[in-house]
Amino acid sequence: MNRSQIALKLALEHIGIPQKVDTFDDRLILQKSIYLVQQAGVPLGYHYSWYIRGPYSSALTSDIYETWQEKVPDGWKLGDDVVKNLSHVKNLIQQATLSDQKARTLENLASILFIIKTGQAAQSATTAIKDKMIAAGKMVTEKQVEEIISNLKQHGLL
Amino acid sequence: MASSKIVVDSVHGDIQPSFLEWDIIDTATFQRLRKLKQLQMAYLVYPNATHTRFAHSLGVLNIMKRIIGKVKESIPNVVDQEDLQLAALMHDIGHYPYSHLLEGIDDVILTEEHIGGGAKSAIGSFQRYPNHEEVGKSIITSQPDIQKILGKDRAERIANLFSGEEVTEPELSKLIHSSLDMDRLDYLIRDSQATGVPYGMVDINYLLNHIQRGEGGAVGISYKALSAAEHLLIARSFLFRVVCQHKTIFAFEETARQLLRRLRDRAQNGGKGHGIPVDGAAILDLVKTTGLNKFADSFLDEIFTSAAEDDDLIINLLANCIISRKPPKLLWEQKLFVKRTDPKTEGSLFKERCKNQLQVVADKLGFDVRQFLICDLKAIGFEKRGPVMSKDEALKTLASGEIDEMIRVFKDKNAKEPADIVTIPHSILHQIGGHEFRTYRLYFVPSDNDESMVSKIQNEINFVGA
Repeated sequence: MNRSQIALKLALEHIGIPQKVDTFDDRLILQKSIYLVQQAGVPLGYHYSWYIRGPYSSALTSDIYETWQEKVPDGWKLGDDVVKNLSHVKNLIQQATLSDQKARTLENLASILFIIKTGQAAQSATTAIKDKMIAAGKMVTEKQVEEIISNLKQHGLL
Repeated sequence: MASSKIVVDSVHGDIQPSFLEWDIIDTATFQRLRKLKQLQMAYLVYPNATHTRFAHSLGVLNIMKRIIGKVKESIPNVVDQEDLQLAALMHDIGHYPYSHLLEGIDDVILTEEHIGGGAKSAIGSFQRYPNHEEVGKSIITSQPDIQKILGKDRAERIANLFSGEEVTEPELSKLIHSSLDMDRLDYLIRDSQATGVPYGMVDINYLLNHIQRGEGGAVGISYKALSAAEHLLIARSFLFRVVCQHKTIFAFEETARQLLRRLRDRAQNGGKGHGIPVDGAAILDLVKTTGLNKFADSFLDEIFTSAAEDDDLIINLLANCIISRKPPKLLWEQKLFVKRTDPKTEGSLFKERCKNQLQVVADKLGFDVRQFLICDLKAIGFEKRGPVMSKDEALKTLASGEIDEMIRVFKDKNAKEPADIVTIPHSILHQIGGHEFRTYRLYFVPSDNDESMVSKIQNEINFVGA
């Protein structure tokens, strides 16, 4: 394992997301969680593109596939800054994973954040964000967009 | 609007950029690409492989113009067409010196880390180096010469197109990112011409003349061009094996990666980095300034030259290996052609044996174990999946969108939508699409041309991979 893969496994462990790859939802949760983790200021270095189900990193897929059965070698730990930044996002992700539709909830959180962070709509332009989400096949109301933005702000992601 | 000025290109002949495209080409930011070699260190083996990202970018622009010419009725908006062409032109604007070399140093595993040693520190104090798309986005949304031409919003949209971040029109991005992408169509031919290795000479005209769009908007190629598409995918794997993974080219590049990783780590600990950016944040800061113009191959050449006088034995050795063109010696190699889902048993065995024995050999023969380079090369496949998706295959396919990046072919003249090439029973890719080449190598960086040491080591490590 290289240092990036070690960092990935430690970050997942810290936020309590298992490196499970059995179902599509398991894999989607991993993808969206790591997107949120990075946006919280944890520099794991995965580039995310936009796919049908929102932000997605093929490099992350490769690393998950390569390392999902491996253990982190002894002696590695996350730095204090990383732990601090993870605490912002840990609650958000855990809160999302408690919902009935945890994969969908994380998908919407990550997708709206992606639209804003890539400059495709301002965070105040909730109608434009909703329209982009719908154009991308995600059925959300403007009220839901507002709630998600508020949630992202509350957890320091916006 | 097309300008009357043309560029004569060795691959495509006459290329005629528009006025707007010329404005971009003539910026100092874009001209930097003249100072980045396309094929990294391949010129150390193939002396003519000195072609640049600049020429490649113009070639990609030309291919995008031809693709748009074929499918423009389904991209009716002229601004969309212009933006796609600009995205094609600027898709490599964020490349690092020596292209992918510096970009990948965070993924390097040093010899001592392979064998269980090395510093194990807290992770995350420094940002890893961003990939070149992210650097490119940072460049075109911050460099004043590009901003003056495009404005911030348009620059951002173009960056979203070439980095695959466009949300509402992902089909447009796919023209840039897919197995049949114009990036690949250009570099296969250009790299073949420059190296003299003919395997990448794909039938670009036939492919481009047989591109069509399905009723749902998906881009594919006509059933008539199936062989040309198969050739493209196989040609890519051949060129990767013969050029990118050439034993000497790869050796120099791995030497450079290990050297740069060591310097970067040392700089992060407050030591001498010979000018290497300390982390990703430093890279992103650098490319927003006028310092971008110096962020070219010569930037790394200066680091190599300076490091060749370093007091640290290994840093000194690695740097001298590069600047004196003394390639590391290949001690052992194993090549496999296997299913992608096959376990990596041979790789694990190789690393385990290195871990158990290399330190012992180094101690016995009296050299530094870090003179070994333990290499697990990136596997080379043909397509993103085989014809039947097993559970293990699906693990690699977290997004259904990624499947859409495979080459798609209209199965017959009545087909309304293209299908993945691997699903066509009479395609070669149906048989080999799920396979890959794997390579494991062990190199040694000699402190001089001591051939007797190399043979002594070979006698000691002949157990590796046995």
